[in-house]
Amino acid sequence: MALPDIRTPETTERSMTSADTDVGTPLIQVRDLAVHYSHRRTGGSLVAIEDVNLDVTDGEFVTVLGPSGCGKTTFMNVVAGLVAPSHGQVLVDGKPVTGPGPDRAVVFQDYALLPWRTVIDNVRFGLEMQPHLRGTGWRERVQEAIETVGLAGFEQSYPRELSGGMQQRVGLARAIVAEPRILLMDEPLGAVDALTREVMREEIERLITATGKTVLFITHSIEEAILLGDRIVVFKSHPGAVKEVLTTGIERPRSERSIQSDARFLELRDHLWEALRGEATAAATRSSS
Amino acid sequence: MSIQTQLPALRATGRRRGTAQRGEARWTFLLIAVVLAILAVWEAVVRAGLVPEAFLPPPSKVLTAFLALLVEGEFWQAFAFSMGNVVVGLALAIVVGVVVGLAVGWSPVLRFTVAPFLWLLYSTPKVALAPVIILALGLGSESKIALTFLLAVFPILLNTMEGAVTVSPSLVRAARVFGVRGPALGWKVIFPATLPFSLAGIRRGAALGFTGEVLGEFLGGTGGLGHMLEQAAYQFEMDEALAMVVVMVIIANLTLSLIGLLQRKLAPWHDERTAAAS
Amino acid sequence: MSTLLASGPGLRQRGPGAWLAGLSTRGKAAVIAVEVLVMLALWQLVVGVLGWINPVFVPPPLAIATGFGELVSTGALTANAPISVQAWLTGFAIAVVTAIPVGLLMGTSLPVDRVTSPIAWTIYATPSIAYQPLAKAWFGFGIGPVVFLVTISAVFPILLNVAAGMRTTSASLIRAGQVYGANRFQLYRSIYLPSTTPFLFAGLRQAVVLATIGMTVAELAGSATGMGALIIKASNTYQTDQAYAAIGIVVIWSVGMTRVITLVERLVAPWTRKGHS
Repeated sequence: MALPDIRTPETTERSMTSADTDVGTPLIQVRDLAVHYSHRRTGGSLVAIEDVNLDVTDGEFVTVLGPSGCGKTTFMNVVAGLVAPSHGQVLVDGKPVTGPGPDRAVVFQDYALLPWRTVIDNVRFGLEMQPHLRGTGWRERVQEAIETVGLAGFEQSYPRELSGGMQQRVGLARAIVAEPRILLMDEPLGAVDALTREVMREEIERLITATGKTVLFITHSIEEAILLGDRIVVFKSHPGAVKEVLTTGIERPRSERSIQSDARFLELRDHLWEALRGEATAAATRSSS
Repeated sequence: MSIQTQLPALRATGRRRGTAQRGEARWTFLLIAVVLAILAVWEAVVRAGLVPEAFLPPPSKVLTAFLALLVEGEFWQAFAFSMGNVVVGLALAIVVGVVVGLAVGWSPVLRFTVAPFLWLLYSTPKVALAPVIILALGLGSESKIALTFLLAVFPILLNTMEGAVTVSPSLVRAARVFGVRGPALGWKVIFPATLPFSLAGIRRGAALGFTGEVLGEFLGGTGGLGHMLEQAAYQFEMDEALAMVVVMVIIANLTLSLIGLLQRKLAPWHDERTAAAS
Repeated sequence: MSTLLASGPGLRQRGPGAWLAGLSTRGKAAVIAVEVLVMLALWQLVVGVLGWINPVFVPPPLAIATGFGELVSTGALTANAPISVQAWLTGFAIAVVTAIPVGLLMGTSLPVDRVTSPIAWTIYATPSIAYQPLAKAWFGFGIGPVVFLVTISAVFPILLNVAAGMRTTSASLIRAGQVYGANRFQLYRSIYLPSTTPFLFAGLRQAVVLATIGMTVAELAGSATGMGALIIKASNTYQTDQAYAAIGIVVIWSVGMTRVITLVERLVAPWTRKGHS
């Protein structure tokens, strides 16, 4: 299959720096990244990801697509500063990541809301550890974030009183309230029901593209990856590594409906389907042997 | 997983292989070292005369008294008496607790009519009934068996009931779909699903039953480990009294580990955390 | 009590079971109230009127009520109850003040946990009655042994629950805290401590029950005063109606203190309330 726009990992770096932006270094640079976990019982070690190289420019929406267990969450945790790389490094704005920082916010798959806090206090959590944001005006910031995600009227509710979709809106509001440059989203819609998921995909697409944030969005849904991403990074498993990087090149705003008839969408979907099916088959053979 | 391994987020990958087993052994070693240190300090403090020996005998004296007990016929007689009563009382409590618990858990009508009273009795400190029971049944084994039974039966019963109630209706529906009905439904679905709960109840019941036996011996009668302990403390033979406490600590912990072993053996599929939450 | 309202595995569509299941919460409460009254009336009938059971061993409800009246009029209640309350509260307070810091320390430091946990479990597994004769020998005949037994009964459930709460704090909440910039201290204050709170209260509720058992045992087996001593004296003089009345008061104390803990929990940790959305 010959797709002109498909870029292999080797060519990505060059093409990205020379293409749309020539403002110098990309916002996120991932260099020869590898993470090995030591196995508790056996004492052996497990290679979660290996040889990951990726550049993300400022304002780009990158979706990371791969089968479960391919290390994409580990990858995101390294960028977030939650896991230290065993080899290689991640640079944000030219500086190596050594831990979590206010320039990066995370939306978690399991929401990770504090059950003992109301919606408003959960959102406030996103900025209360930032000394420069803690002072006056936080109330307006929090309120604005709550309204942005469409939760006005639920400020005093506890997370357990909200549906999964609404809980994830709280998670989203918490992530954007401190206005980080980078949003890391770890299958944020994975635990949300199908209908809500479709609505929220479009909302995220609108919201994020309007604010111009740089996003790393992890998903195992092909449609989601295409609908949201400027580029799609396909992961393979065992060990987790970048299989290929594709540019979607579909005009924004995109909607679930309009995109279905887009030739490029169909082309990408078929290609990704083949790629992931190969991965899944390989995984099945591995586990049966 | 412990907090210590979660907190420093950036440490996870730095660990070298093999640390896990060495870590476990290290903790056991540390525990033994700390316990030995406590015993040594205790011994030293008493030897130095900082604490009167009559008040708190040193560990060496307690050990001597403990070893002396093990070769004493009187001790084994007391042991047999107490354990005999506990076993009879506990066996009765298990039979009654499991049968009634299953029945009440299964039948909504029973659950509604009987369960409130069972809950009331469960939350009553039944040890307070000990004098009345001794009054009614005398100073022999009967009153002690009755106390053991009375204290042990409610946790078993209510845990079993809780288990039977929480058997997922979808599990029962699934069993019916595959043609399981009547007693087979009880035997193949309800009983196994309830078993871990019953075992958890038996664990608590055993500890309470032991309390019942010892309390019965404190309040009246002339036999048993509790009686021996009380006599020793009363005559201020603190080394023997402490040795008796050690005996009880050993019995209690052995019983609990035995039941724990049964739990793992009979219900290995059970997740302890979900039972703890209920 | 939630089991009462659960549907259970019976899956019956008709009959009294279905009727009961269909009742509102208030309707169920009414049915239970009626049941309690019927039960009391039956008890009175069987023991008090028909005399099928020796009333000395199980006195009928009205006799127990009379017994309560006697406890009040003779001043036995005012002489003994405050002593028990004092011992209980002192012992419980000591237990809480000791258990919470140690539990937090165990939850924080792995070495402390690995050393303290096995020792705590070993002592906790042994019924506290085993320590009673020692307490009597060490602290004499006053309130001392009772306080000791209340403390040793109450301290371990609190301690072990707090430690478990700290250790089971959700890893993803900790990650969220780190992502949003919490330092070690902030992580404690805003993640670990709140997630441990429900465990603390669960431990406190267990501790109330065990402390009451400890108090009763200590007073039964060697106190001249207190509710346990009152129960023993009344039983030994065949005034079992008074003994049952005294037992009833101990039950009310135990249930009441459990309620108090639950109310405090609602105040301090409203998010744990099972709620209406």
